[in-house]
Amino acid sequence: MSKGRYRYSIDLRLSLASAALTAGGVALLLSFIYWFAVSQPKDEVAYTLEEEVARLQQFYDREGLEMLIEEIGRSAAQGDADYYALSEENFDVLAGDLMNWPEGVPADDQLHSFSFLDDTGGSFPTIHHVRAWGYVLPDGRKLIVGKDVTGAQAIENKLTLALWIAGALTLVVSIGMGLVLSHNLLARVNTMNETILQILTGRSGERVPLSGRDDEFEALARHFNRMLDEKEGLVAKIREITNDIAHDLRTPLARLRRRVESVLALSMAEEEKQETLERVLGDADAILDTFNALLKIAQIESGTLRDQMETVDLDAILRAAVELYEPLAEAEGVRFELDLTPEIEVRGNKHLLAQSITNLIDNALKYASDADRIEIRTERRADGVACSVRDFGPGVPEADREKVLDRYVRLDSSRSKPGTGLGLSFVAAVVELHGAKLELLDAAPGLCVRICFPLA
Amino acid sequence: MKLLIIEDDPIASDYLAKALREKNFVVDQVDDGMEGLYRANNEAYDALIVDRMLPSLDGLSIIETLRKAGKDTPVMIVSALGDVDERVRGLRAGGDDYLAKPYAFAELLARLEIMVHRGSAGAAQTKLRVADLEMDLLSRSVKRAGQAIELQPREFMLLEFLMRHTGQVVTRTMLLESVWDYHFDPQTNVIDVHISRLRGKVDKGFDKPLIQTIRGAGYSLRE
Repeated sequence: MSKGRYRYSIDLRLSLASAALTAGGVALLLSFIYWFAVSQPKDEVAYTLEEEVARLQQFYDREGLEMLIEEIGRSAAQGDADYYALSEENFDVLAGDLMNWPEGVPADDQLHSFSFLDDTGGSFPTIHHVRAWGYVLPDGRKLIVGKDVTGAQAIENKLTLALWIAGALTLVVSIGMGLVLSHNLLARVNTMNETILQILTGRSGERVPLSGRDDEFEALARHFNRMLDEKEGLVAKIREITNDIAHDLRTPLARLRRRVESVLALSMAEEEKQETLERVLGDADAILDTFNALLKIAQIESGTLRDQMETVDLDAILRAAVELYEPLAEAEGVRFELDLTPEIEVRGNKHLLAQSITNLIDNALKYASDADRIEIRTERRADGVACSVRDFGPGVPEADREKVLDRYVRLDSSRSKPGTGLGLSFVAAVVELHGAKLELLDAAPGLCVRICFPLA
Repeated sequence: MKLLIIEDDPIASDYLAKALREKNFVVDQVDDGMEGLYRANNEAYDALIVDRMLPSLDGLSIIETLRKAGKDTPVMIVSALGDVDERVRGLRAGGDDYLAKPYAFAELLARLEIMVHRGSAGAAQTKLRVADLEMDLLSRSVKRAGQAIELQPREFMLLEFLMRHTGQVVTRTMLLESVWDYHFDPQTNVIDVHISRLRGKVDKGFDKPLIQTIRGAGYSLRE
């Protein structure tokens, strides 16, 4: 993957975003730690100092100088702060535990810091850091209260350093991790992209390889492969349809042409001409019927009608169809036996279903008219609803059952009867559109055509 | 009867116009949608035959506009789009009937006659009568020359349709549509057998045969 080509790629954006987010979060955390461990204590120190100064100043107001000096002495030993001092206007120390007024610290009622070297105890002189508050009394004398923050200062320094290091490390690690993760992700996407491009530009038989992992990319790859399968299926179907059309329309068209030619070329009596032209019309109608049927089947198979479904009363459809064919059946000595479960509803297209049922009944009458009855049954099953049309005729040999669903097959024994042979393939297409299953079963005797609808 | 054909295919238009004129209709032809709308709006026609796919303004829009303007001239829609759903669309737009191309002229003629004469026989009737054949729609019973005739439900509906269109040509397609709500052709002569049976009950043994076969078109109930 060349960085140039993917300059603004998701890779870089993802890692930057992830780094930014992590950095943001960490900064927040570190800020909190700083506030909690450093700022807060600092504020507390200031508060204590302020309080002490106020206390002493009030004490002075009430009790006067002598008592203040005593109080300072007492506070120096036991007070909340660490250092107390009272000085003359000229900064000469009168009382307290500071020898001298700390240098550079004005008594301006504000917080200041100073440090001093302590070489009184132990072997090595130590530096002390003090936070102090200075105040000028009404008579010009000065008050100062201080708190030793040496320890706190040391912690603060260490902590600040630690926080900066932590921050820097986090930034580096998060950017690094972000890059690694997104690179990983992208690698898979890029592989898929390249494979798909190859498939689209020529190697149509291939599919996106599956890695076996059970994640979103895998699902994407599987779905894509399914789409490719469907696309190939459709392409094959188109080829099949054009072949069918060519095959089945060529014959009647040729016949029609011959008839027209005969009218033009031969000397015919008016009556014969009339008759021939009527046959020509019949041929044209037959061709149109075939064409329409093929088109309808193609339409059904392509799924464009999938969104026109409604709740359909299967009972009503079956009864209406039986009523349509009843007189014809009776004339041929066939009766209908109905075994219908009441109130069976399926989700579907009532026009297509009606036509399918009439196709099945029509077939049963055509190929099994020697028998005396046709059974039509509906039943509820665990996996849905089944509807079957069963005749008592010669049946369809097992080897041919798959073939009859193909567009044009009509088993040899029946070539004498009219019809396009598209009946069962129409039913097959409609059944598939409804998400149902079509079964051709040997009813011994006869054929049972069963449609199993899924649960609504 | 004055008709307007709005159709942009000149061959189809000329053929239809000629066939209709032979049946004594006065026919105007127009090949453009906008012009068709104009003519239909401003002249008095007994019926319109409108193709759906037209230049400048399509058939359904023409009908919708006419209906909005309060014109209730009967309209027959003709279209290569023959699906049931397209038919529903056409009727919803305000069309009175819908015929898929290609159609048999006899079919168009029969439907045209029925469409133009619609409304004269009210749907509120409870009794239908032709010669000595009587049908009571409330009690769902039929009598001829005073004799009761037993009819199955579908037979009754078939006869009812024929009687409501007495004297007019009724095609097999019409019967399938109105009695079964089927919008496809079952390919076999199922309707013929129904009519044959109906004849056996309604005409056989009586004075005159009322149910007549109209060659090349369908059937008709007439004295």
